[in-house]
Amino acid sequence: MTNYIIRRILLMFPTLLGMTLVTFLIMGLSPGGVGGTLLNAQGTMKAEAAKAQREYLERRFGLNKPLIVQYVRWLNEISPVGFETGSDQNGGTFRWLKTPDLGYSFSKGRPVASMVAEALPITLLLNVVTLPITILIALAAGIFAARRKGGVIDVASGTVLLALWSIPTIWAGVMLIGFLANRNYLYWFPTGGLHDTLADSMSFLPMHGPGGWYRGWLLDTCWHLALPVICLTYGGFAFLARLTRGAILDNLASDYARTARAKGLDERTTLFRHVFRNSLLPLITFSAGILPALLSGAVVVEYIFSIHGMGLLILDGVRARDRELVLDEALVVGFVGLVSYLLADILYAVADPRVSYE
Amino acid sequence: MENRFGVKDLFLFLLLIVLIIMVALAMKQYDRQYLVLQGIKDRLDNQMSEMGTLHRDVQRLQAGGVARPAIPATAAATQASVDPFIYMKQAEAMPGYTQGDWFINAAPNSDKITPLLSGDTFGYAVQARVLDSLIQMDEKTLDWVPNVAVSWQVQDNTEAYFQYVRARKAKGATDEQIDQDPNVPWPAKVTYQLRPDVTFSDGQPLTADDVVWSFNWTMNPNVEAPRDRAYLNKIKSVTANGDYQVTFTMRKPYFDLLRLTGTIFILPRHFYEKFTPEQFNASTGLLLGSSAYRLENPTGWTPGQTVVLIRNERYWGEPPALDRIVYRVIDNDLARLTAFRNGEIDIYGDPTVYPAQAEPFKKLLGDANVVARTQHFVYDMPSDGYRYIAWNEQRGGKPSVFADKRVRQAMTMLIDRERICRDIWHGYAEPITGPFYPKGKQCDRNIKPWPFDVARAKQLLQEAGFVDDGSGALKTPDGGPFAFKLTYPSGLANYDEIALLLKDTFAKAGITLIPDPLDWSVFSDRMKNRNYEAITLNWTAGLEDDIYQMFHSSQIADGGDNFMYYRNPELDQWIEKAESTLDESKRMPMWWKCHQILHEDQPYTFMFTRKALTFLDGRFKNVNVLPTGLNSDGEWFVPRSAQKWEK
Repeated sequence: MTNYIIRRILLMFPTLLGMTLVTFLIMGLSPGGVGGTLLNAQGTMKAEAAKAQREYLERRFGLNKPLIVQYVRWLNEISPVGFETGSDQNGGTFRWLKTPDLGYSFSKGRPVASMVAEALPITLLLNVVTLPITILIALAAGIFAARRKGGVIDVASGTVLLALWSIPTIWAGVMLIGFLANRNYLYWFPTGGLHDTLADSMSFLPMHGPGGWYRGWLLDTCWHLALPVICLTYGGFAFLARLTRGAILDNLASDYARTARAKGLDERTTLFRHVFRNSLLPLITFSAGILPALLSGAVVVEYIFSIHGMGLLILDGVRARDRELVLDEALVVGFVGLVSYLLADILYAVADPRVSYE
Repeated sequence: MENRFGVKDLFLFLLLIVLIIMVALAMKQYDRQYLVLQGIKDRLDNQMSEMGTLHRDVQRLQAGGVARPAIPATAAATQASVDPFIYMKQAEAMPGYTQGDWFINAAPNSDKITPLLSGDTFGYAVQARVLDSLIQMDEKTLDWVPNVAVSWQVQDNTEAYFQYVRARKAKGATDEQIDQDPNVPWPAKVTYQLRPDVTFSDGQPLTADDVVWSFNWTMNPNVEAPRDRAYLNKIKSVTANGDYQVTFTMRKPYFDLLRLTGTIFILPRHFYEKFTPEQFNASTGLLLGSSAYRLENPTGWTPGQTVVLIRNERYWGEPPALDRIVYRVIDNDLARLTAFRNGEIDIYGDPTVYPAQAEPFKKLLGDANVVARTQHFVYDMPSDGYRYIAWNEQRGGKPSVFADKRVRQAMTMLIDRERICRDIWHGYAEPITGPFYPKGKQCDRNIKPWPFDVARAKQLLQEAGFVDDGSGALKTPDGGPFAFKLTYPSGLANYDEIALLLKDTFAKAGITLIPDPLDWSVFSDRMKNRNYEAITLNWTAGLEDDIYQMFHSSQIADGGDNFMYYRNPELDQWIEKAESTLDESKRMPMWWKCHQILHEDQPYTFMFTRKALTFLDGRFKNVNVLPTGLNSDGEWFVPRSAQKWEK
């Protein structure tokens, strides 16, 4: 097992190298090239200013250098072994150990590390709320449907879940805002953002004061999270619920379930003590697979609800053809993806003794 | 069976999770408390130092009186008689005027609000409320009026400068050598007399030293401000004479020197000096100034946060009525529209931050509920600029079909600009005749726009050698069919509609127009390499604008912005002349001349300029349309009974 894990970890390096190189080449070789959108705000800048800006950025960030030079410079920046360079990325002394640096985004004028540090907690918050809700609803709905296989409820829930699964998030988001956050219809939720205008002066917990109840910071955040979380969950649980239902039905028909029934256990005990545990296997694979997707963020949801997480950051980077931003994000998402696949493989072996990597 | 995960374990597990969540929430709460405490501490420190200053002042008074520095009279002290706050005082005299209430605006996600670094209009809008400049423009008369400077004096030495330059040139000196020559006489100087009673919002006094430092900081090549440096390059040096006088010396004669020198934001040296250029470049929200509003935490803003501007109680001028101006980050237009309908934001369509499109504006007009509780405005906005189609006069080193002036004139006459304004912009746009703001002094209003006239266009094309052989397709002088691509950025509002409409009208004259929408990065690349036939885009503009960059033939080289290879020596001369004439009454006729040449030559087809469209909550009073847009929100107020946000 240890051998296997070490081998997988060593394999990660060439994989990541390949991933970032391909990402960079796609960006660099397409028309416009790296930094193709340096002219800010769709050309609505005064001519003189736009020109000065372009020249400055090209000089400072070496955007007019050959692609391969730019890529190797980036590699040097993120690697813990290499040349220590100044802000103009020229020259420098060789070090065996230096601080790896995610670099400086030229379209945003900030270090990428600080932007990721801002966006990541927001994305994590969304996911920490979304993931348990998705899994709980999926399990409940899956088990419920499996127990009444072929019944009206099973067919109805199947249809509804299929319908939910096929609704595009962008449409659902706009509809939710349009009807549930609109003064002309139901004005139950805010239109966007994570906090109210007054959030900073709110108490933490809900409290009763002069003039009635104040919802407080915590409840305000939950209130703002409601619509985005709905948008993020429904597609996931619709899919997972069908997956769970299938797995449970498979296991219910298997030999060990028949044995359990034969030794006199009732259907309920059979399901929850024996079948349920084994039906979790496909869920493990699925959850490992969606980890990188969650990290890269729900671009559409973040955009519709004006939440500035990883998704919008990636979108900004790609739009501006920002070398550092795109490469670093490819690196982070790629790394998390590879680690979660490795984790899934290990978990598989742990959950199912029949799987072995020796 | 013993290591089975049982109900008890599940319970313990859930308990653990709940515990972790509680700890996380508690940490968050401590963090919030810490921030509040920090804010209180800062304010206390601030007050302590203020008390100290007061204490010293009182002691000095007891010891024999304090001499306030008097505002000295200078040669050009006439400006001191102009009251820059006249409109605010008029507002204060209105019935129902009270201070209070907040103005909630929306903003796109911005990366920075630190001055010099932020490139978007939103950053500028925030800075303009926090930072002061030496002078400001009167909203109604469009004259310069005092702000931090009480008076100013322009010394015009252009004659001597040009005499010297001509003499050197006669001896064979190049432009570059003259630029390097230390003996060149200065062409112009502006001297500003500052108010002695201005302090920054942290209580430190504003002196001439801050003005000098602001300029030098901008010119520091390590500071990421190439755009500002491109403008300020025309200034040779800034020197302080004593605490309250500052002199700008120009490098070259430049017509707009009052705007250039007088509207530089004055940064507090003591605040910004603490940072190295690298720290400054990487900052997002370093903003402290002396104007009517301030940030609660001048160093703490990060992207995505709401920008809250609170009234600066130390402001030296007339205090505005609104307590707070709040910018909530709302990225997409649909969400802004919904937020406005809900009353979550007070304005939809702030031309300085995010202009409203014609379609949603029309939709809002149709909603009786919204119209009843709001007010709306349609007005001119010089900063919005204009749309143009540029005709590339050179392809592959050879003149293209558009190199002939008559062809370009014909192209313009084939474009029904009235109809584009009426049908595509719902009437919220106007055809233009040149690059200047149609209601400004720079524009020659005697010029009549080229009419939409297919017959005359056809005739012009025939004169230029194009052949109509009756097949319906026009032939170029080379014998091929006349077809060209109109390149424009994809994904922007209305570009597609306009391209399709043009395709239709051009087809009537036997010309094939192929719409060519391109992703922005590809588009700007094509523009840079001049790899296009015709291109359409927008330029932003101002009340008085320099057109050197777009139309002077020197800008054809080195990827300059004369990307259509347009050359007219006569125009070059007039632009150079106008640029170096300080006297407005002499300069304007020169711009008119430029305008006439451009109208005749049609290097661009000047399409239209859009109207600014604004919906504003009805509780704001004294909101007026002026020649340059809406009046400043410093003059708005909300009567006590209508106020929405308590103090």
